[in-house]
Amino acid sequence: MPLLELSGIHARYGEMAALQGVDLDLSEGETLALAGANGAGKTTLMRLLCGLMPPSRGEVRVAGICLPPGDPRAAAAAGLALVPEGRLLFDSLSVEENLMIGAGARAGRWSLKAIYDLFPVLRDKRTQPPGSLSGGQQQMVAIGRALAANPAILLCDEISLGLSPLVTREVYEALKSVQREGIALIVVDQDVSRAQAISDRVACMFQGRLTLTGPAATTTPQAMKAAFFGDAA
Amino acid sequence: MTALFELLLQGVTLGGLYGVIGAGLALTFGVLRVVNLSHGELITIGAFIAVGVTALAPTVPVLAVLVLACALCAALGGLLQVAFVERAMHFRDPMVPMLVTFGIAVILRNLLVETAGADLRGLNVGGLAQASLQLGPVIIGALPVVTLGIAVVVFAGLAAVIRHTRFGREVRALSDRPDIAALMGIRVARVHVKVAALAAGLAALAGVLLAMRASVSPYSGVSYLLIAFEVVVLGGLGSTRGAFAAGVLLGVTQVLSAWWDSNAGLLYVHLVFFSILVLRAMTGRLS
Amino acid sequence: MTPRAFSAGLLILGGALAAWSAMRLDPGSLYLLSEVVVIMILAQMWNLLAGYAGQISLGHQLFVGLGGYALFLAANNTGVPIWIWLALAPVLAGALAIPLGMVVFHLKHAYFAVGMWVAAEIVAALVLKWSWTGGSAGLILRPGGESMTSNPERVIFFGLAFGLVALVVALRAFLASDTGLALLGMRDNPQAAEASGVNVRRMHLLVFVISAMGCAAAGAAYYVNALYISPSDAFQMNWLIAMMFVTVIGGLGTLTGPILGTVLFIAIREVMTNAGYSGGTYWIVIGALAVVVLLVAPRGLWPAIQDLTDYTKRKAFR
Repeated sequence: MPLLELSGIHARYGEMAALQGVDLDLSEGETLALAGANGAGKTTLMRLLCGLMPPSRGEVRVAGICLPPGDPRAAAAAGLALVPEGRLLFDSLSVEENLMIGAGARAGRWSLKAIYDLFPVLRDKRTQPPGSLSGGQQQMVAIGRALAANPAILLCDEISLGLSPLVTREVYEALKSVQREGIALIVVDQDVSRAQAISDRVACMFQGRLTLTGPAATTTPQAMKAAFFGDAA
Repeated sequence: MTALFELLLQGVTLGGLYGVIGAGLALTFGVLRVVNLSHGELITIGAFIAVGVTALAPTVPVLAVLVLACALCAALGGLLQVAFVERAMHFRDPMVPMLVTFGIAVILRNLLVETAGADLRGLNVGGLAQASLQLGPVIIGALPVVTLGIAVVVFAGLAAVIRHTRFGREVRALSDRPDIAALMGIRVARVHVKVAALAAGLAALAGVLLAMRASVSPYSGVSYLLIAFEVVVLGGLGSTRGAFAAGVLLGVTQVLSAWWDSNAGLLYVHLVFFSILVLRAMTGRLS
Repeated sequence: MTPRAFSAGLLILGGALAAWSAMRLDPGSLYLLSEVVVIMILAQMWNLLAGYAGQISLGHQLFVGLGGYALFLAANNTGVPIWIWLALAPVLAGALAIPLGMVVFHLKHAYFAVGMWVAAEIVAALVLKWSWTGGSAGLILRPGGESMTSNPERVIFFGLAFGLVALVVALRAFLASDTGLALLGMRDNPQAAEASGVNVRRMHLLVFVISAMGCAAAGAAYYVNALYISPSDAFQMNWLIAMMFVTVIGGLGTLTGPILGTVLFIAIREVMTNAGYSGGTYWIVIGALAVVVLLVAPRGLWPAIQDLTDYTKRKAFR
């Protein structure tokens, strides 16, 4: 049984259809790179998975159990955690408080100490407001904040947006450590090849539908490009 | 000299209470994103509970009356949040909860008129009202000193709770980014109820202390609400220290203006507020 | 029927009905009906700002009082007939609303609401303090220093009722015009409206001034009928509560809503007063009604009725 199953997911913003029948599954510990142009529905899918918006049709199952629609608490308890686009840290909280706020959603090994071991640079900045950190450090706080909830699946939206190549490499190193803990990942990155490199599978969205899913190792850039512009089915 | 000092002390004391009212309103506005127009009524209800209890059982100590009024109002505030405001918040349009709290305010105000009458009431605190303290060459009333002390302690306590507790952390997270906070597994509705109860308790506290200082009528809630708003706007959201400073500015303005123009009422308070508001708006320093 | 013919028909019919009522009804009924029309106009004006421009004012009682005081002061201190001042009072209030609007429209949402409220309190406090405005004792209407010789309620009622019909017709036309559509677009998406070249500030100011003038006209007419004005009455919060509740109960952002809301508002009051209930109980009932409507049908009763009839119609056709 797959860890995460999406069947027939539709979603809309008012009149506008954002997702039109998405079927997808993810096994335990698997990493999926999710590609697609702006407005293809990646962020909507991420938001929907973690309960920030309800599907208009279809259902999300985690370990076979159907998630209540639009309930972020239930999604967190089921093991879904989001590293949102733009990081969206809590500016009034210190770095450490940001890391503490998500703790307690589920039991697991991600204590403060474990997160600091993964990102040692944060330990020195624990009392500072996140606004005073560099972009890369802020992304680490965002990942750490999500890990604190001990997720089974980590959703990373636009993981390298606005980060320098050096910092991006650091963030990807961290994602590899997360993979080694057996956590499944869905990674959205503007640079698809970078996400593909650490993934088991790739998926591509176009106009609210999945136009391609395939193994990361064998899917060619040409095939990705075609799916990206909706040419392949 | 003594007169001026006495006056300033009165102003700072009154301002401290204004700050307490404003802090409660700022908390609800910051966390719930709701403009709570029934905040003024919770102030008067707190005062009237104290007046009622003292009339029925004159032997109960003042402190116990104060605690009881706060507890009852906190319960009322939490109840109103669960029964009405939280439901209204589901409509996504911020106008709906604001208008609901306006309806609640009218209901509460008139319920108070129907049960307690429309008269002005004061709270008799016995010997405390006449007692005075000698500070070097200056003799000052004990009541303002005690009131100011309570206000300061409440502010320090509130700041500590917001700064250092899990509840405070959740409050700050919710006022920063409500949707991400919900994602982190925070029980949002539960925090809302706690905040509503806390704000109502603070309102009642200020209401009781205001009733000791001067009389309160069921219709006073409206002017207190306006003052609370002024404190929030001047002091900034989520800043307890700002609320205290803004409250003191308005309180001192009120007391000093009443001294040189006895029937000014709140005119100068509103003028000071309006001028600052306009200045800030013109210079673009307003969220 | 074309919209223009419909408007003309509405105007003629409304005018005829107003004239007939003004001539035939007894003074008591006219007084009550005048109050109904006053509240309808006030609610339309508050609704124009809240329902169509998305700005909730907590200080609209200011314009009611300003209209009344402008008329009383002008009529009492000059020999010009009050009918002329009745037409000029809203212009005076509108002229005051322009600088006020330019200031308060720097403020958004809650800040706007509070800014308006404080402005109303300041003016009320000044009127209360100054002796040339009559202070707390208020003013008796004595045009040119003479006592009123005849009761004005028939003419006032006709003016108010015809004014209301004309106002609704004009608002219908306005909302269908390019300017009106821009206003609606602005309410639904301010950024997009700004981007498409609508001058949001000027549009808000226009609506604000119209809203102020309408309230001032209604206030002036109301207090001419009453022959007496005082600050505690003219600037009272109850004016605002009436405007808000009537609009919210009837339907925010609709033209029919405030009319329906006013009918309910006054009908409940008359029934409860006749049954011997106190004013406090009446306000409790109205407040409860507003809360229930907001929680059950947040857009108000009129849109809810429309949805319901649409639904039954669709069912009937199936």
